[in-house]
Amino acid sequence: MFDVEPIIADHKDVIHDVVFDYYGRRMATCSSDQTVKIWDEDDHGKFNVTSSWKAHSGSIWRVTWANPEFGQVIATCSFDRTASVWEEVLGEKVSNSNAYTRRWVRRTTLVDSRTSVTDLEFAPKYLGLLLATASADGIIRIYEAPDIMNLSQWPVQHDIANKLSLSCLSWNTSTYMVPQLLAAGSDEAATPTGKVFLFAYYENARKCVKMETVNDITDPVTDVAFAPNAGRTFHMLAVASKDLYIVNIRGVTDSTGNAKLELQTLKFSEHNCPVWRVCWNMLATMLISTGDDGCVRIWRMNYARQWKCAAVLKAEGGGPTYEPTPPTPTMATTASATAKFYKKGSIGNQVPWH
Amino acid sequence: MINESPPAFELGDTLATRCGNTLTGVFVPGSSKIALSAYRPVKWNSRDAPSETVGSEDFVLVHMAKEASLFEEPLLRSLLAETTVTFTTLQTLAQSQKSSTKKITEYTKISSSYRSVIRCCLEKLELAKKLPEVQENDAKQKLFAEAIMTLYSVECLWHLFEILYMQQQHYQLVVPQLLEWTRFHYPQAEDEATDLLLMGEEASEFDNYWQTLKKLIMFGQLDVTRAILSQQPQASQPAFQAAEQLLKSMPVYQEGYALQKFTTQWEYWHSDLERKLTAHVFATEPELELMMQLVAGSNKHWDAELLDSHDWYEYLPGYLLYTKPSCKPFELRIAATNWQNRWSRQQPADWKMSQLSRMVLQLMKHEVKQFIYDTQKLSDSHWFSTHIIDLIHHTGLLTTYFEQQGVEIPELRQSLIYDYGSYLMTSHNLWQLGIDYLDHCQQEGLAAISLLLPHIPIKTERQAFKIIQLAKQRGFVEVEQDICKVLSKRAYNDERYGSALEWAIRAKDVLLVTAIADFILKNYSHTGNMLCKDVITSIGARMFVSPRLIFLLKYYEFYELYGQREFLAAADLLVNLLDSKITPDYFWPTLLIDALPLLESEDPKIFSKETVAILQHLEMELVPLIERNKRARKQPSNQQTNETALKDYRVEHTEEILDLMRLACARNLARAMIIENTSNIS
Repeated sequence: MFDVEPIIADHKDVIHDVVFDYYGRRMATCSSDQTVKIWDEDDHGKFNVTSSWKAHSGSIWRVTWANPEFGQVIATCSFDRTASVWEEVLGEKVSNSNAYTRRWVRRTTLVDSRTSVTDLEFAPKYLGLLLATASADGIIRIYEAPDIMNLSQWPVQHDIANKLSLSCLSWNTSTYMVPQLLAAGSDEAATPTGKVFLFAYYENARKCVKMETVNDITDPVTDVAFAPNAGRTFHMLAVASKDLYIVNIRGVTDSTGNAKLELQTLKFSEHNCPVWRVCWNMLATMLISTGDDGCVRIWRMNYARQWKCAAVLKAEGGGPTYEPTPPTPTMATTASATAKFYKKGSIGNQVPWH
Repeated sequence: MINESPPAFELGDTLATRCGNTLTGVFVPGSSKIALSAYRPVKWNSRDAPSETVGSEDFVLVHMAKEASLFEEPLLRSLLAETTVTFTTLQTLAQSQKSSTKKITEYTKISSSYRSVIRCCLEKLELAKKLPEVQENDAKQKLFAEAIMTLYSVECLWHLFEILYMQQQHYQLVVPQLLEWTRFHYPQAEDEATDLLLMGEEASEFDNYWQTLKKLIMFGQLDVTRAILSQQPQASQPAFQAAEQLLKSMPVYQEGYALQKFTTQWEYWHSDLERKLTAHVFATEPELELMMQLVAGSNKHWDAELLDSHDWYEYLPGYLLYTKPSCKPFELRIAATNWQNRWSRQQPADWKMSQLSRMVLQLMKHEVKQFIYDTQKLSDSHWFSTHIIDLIHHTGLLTTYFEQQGVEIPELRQSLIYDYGSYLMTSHNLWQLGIDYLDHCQQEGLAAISLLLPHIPIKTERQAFKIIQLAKQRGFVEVEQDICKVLSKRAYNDERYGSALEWAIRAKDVLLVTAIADFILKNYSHTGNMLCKDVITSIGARMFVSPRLIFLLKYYEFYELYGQREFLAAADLLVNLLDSKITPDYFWPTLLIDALPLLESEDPKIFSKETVAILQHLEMELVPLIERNKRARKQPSNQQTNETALKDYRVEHTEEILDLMRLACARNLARAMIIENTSNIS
């Protein structure tokens, strides 16, 4: 039921992050080998590497794409205590044609953090070209490029200090709620306090303040992700911690007229081990969780709006072996890999939705 | 059934199994793909050193996984397009009629039109399978075989569903329709029968003669059987005559008949047959006798024949015809269970029921809930489950049943259509069909469209216009603006500035329009080249988006007049521009230098009053600017941005303009005053 096509990433060490652009046609990978690679999908749906460069002098934790209306822009953060913004520009003209080569240039290096920059994400586009970073010293910094035609200036707009070291952050992308929410998680293991924090970003007042702590989650948190919102009246935040959590967040106004958040935390323990990463699909009808058990679990919301694990993908199994050259798998290996999950001669091998 | 553990799949990534590594995955936006890779949990406070796996033989891989879909094949894609039409018709039908006037026959028509789409597609597939290019392509062969099998099953199940649940006659008899159903799904016997009929008298010499006749009997095709038998050379013999008479006189139930009367007739006929068998009327023809035993419903003989059947349900309708012709749907449950047990006893020990057989049994046993669940497992990207549930929902069939079973059909339908629509919308080339489904999912569907639409990769401008049009129809203003902004930025980065300006104006994005207009103006003052003239001339009234754009257009107008040597009009416009208060700082040098030749003209173009005004702008605007620039230049941090800000391609240093201009103004003032005063006197 799954067609699988392996791509040889050619990174010298493990990949820390695989992130797709807005359209899913470009892929950015970053690794402990201190390089970033950009991949473009060709007309046959195959991803080919089009750029690769050494971007930092430490492991690169995360990479993130800016909205395409700001051009082709990515940001990276690293163990080397910096974050960088990169933009793709036209290079030299390719001889005998009207096409130009493209290359990625460093627009800025953000050096404000004194510790490892653990995560970063561009804000929803209507707030402008904003970049939030989280670092191990517990500080969230929000940078802004005031001139979208010139990305070399990134003054810090806000820095919000937290007592605990931070490991991850996520912007809410929904436009249903003002102020905009930003969530951050801490992987601090020593204290038994809440590890997920919610911040409110007021666009007009240009203010960013802590609003709430999710006290139900006291174990170290390694990833948070706000779900895209397709017409829901509440927000969903997936949290990777000792278990998988989904926090439903409702904005309410209390008797004194102040905006407040109402939280409801759902826990899913199927992994039976720490969860490292979470990822939503475009309509937030599905969720992927990465467990320490060598399994990826795919969750699906059924028609009664309950989250159920719909499929498990395991790392083990006797996959095909790959030749180091050529860089992309040959037809033969691809075909054998693709055939792997077919149950031959059966009409029923699909994951039921409900 | 819902609590069964989720299906697990093995990927075989060695790196992900090493040294505490695990596997991670992300959804790929705009598609149904998942990208999986090995993941190494690292904390910020661990030492940043190469991991143990560096230099090992495990490759660093990214796996692109995708749920297998039949519909990437163009031939099958047309199936989706055609069913979308039927789907939309059904929605309109359901909306247009009040529930009281809804007629089941109309829904049956819809149902059969879904089925005819599948049948038509199956035919196309069968034809395509025989093409040489498909024959040589193993992957295609496999895909086609799988598609045929899946679609065939879907049609078979849908047909059965239609027979058992969508007919609402008073005396609901199912046997004749079930016979139709098996006839379609096992056409082989009929094909052979046609051959025999064509052979005429010689047919009886044919090897498969009796075998075919037996099959025809078991499929309940009495007329054809009789026709073949009548061609027998021995047809006039008593045994054959008796058989012919019996088959001919078998009572057939017709609508409007009293059931009681029919049953009496049938029982009379049946005992007549039994009597003749006991009297050995057919003994002279053992093969014919065997056939008549089957007609009499002799269990021993049927069991013997069952060994050769493909599936348990193949001969069930035929058997019912001879044993329980007035069988009703509720009686079918028991009959089907018994028959299936009888059949499976004949099978080898390691026999397992196929998915299709199981689902046929579920339908006959009225286990619709389980059936609905199993339809979702078919490899048809939920095509069948979505459409059948939608149909069930609209017809209001089985309402009580589902209530008892605790299945909320409206919610299930909504959810399936939503998922199916969003699946289509995130599939390459199918997104437009997806919109038709999401349009029928109330607010949620619209929200999904507005979220997914801007993610459609825009390859051509034509496609962009298509998406914008769809967004407009649904009132998604933002989607239109988003697309325009993206296209504007893309064009700008590709140095197609005209197109960038066009899209930015369409996006009504003041900042973006201003930024691009700035770029064009700066480029002009640095190089003397005016970019994208054709676009600027065509902007017209749309210029009011941004003051900078107005300035660009007005300046361009001046530039044109000047080029056409319309100096008087040009001078007029220039003076207006100088007074307009919308001149960007960086453009002052250029604007003033432009005045220079007009001021220096032998034949004055600018009046004395305007000349004074120009001089005033020079002193009030440009001089302070230059001063500020000088000061800024001393601060090294700002140097770069401001130094380039004041520049014109015609002079090396901006300061030079001051003296040149002052002199030119003085001279022109003198000339103008003389002329003005002279003309005043005369």
